[in-house]
Amino acid sequence: MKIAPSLHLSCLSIDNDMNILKREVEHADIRKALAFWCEMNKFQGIIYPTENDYKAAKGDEVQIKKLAKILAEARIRNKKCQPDGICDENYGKESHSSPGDNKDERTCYNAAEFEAYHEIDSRKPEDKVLKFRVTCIRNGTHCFGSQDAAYHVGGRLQDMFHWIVDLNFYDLEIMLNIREDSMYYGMTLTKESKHHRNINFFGPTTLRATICYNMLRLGRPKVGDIIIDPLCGGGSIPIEGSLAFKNSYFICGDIHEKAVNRTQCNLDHLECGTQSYVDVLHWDATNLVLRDSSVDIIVTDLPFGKRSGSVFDNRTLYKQVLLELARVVRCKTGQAILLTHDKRSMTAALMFTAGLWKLTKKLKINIGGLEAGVYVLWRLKESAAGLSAAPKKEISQAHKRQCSS
Amino acid sequence: MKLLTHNMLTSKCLKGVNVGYPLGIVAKDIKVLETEFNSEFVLRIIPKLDWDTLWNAADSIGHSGDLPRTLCDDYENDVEFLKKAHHVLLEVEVINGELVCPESGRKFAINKGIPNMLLNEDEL
Repeated sequence: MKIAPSLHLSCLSIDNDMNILKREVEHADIRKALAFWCEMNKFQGIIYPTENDYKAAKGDEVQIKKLAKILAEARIRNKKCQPDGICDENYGKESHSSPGDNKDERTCYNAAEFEAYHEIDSRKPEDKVLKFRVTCIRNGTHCFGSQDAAYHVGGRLQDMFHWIVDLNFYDLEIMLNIREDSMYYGMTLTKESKHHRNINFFGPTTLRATICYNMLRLGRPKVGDIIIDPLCGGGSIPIEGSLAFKNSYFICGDIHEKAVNRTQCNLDHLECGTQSYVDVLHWDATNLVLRDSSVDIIVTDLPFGKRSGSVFDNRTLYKQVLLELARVVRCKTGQAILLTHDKRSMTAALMFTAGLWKLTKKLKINIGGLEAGVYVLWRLKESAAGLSAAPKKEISQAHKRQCSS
Repeated sequence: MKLLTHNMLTSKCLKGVNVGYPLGIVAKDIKVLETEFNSEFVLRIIPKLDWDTLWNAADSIGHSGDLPRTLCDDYENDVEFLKKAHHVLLEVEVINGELVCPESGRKFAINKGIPNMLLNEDEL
């Protein structure tokens, strides 16, 4: 993977911008990355074909695909002719809509084609020429589309290495991730994103496992650390943590009964070994039943006030949660990694708890188009006991005032 | 709920309760799940615990075995001891039962291994 921090895209002419992207890719150390990729994916075929190799392979490829298409179509027709006895009537009626438009039908066809392709393909793995595609994910305003970028960069790579372009049955996928004026690009090591690994029961706001992992990593857990997630939802963070950081103990909880049960169900699907390092409680994050200074790291995803909770409630909730967390976390060494979209409430809560927490890092992240922030807070020296008593009253008064107004 | 978690729980947030520690355990159903012994984890976690509480909790649910009542000085090198501690901390789980506040006597139910620690508004 390589990062190109500032590309100086003109945003005026496509040709100019495409040339910038192409030049960027040309200078990358693709051979080195490719060697690693081959090792990971155990690819045995021809990585650097000559032009003649390419032409021959391309011919074979076209031939095989043609046959696979015919075979797949024939199979699907056969299947339709023999109506399934098990298939209930409702399903039969539904699939009457025009073929090709139906999503299920298309995936069914793709699967059949994929199967047929591999049956017909009789070449040895060593004789195959690498097939590739370029995918582009783009964020921000540009004068070109994602497909244009993928098309041009793919074309340049094809000129350089003579690989076969194949958008469906590819071996190698090159990802371009363009964000405003910067880009990072690399080769995908897995065929699909791992962001929904380990979770079986999804809730309305389940966080991506990849984000969970990175939030935990920000806390740098050490052996024997006690990590809590006081607003755990479906338990994505403790589950990801127990798998990735095996030497820590996780306690998590939620106020909603459904969320607690969901966490338990997700945990039951894990191996027994990891389950032993996670405990679930049904609790209220503003009144934790933990002892003072007993927790090392807090990693949590606060309600954004969009799908879960409301911005109005967040104003008091965030303050109460931060105060309570300051009480249970260890002074001086404790830290909290909090994710939220409601930055205004967070800023207010941080002002309110000044003296307890120190903001050491604030990261901007993009969650499905929402610009959220990850706050890394360190617990300061002062003891929480004296501080927490007074502001609590203040909060409840403020809350009452809000309710009455 | 595992005993390691129990070691950190307090009912201090109840109205009129000052310490609320340790919570009593009434266990109706206990599950023992064997897991791999991780000596480093146990070593690092012991200084963070209240040993008396752990021993009493284990004793009250009949799983103290021959766990020593007090921590000896060189427990770090005693693998047998660490294994026993590992068993009590991570392998014994209370599935159904109750947690009891030592001061007010308020009971918190444990269902399917999840203690319900929610408080009513008048208890805050």
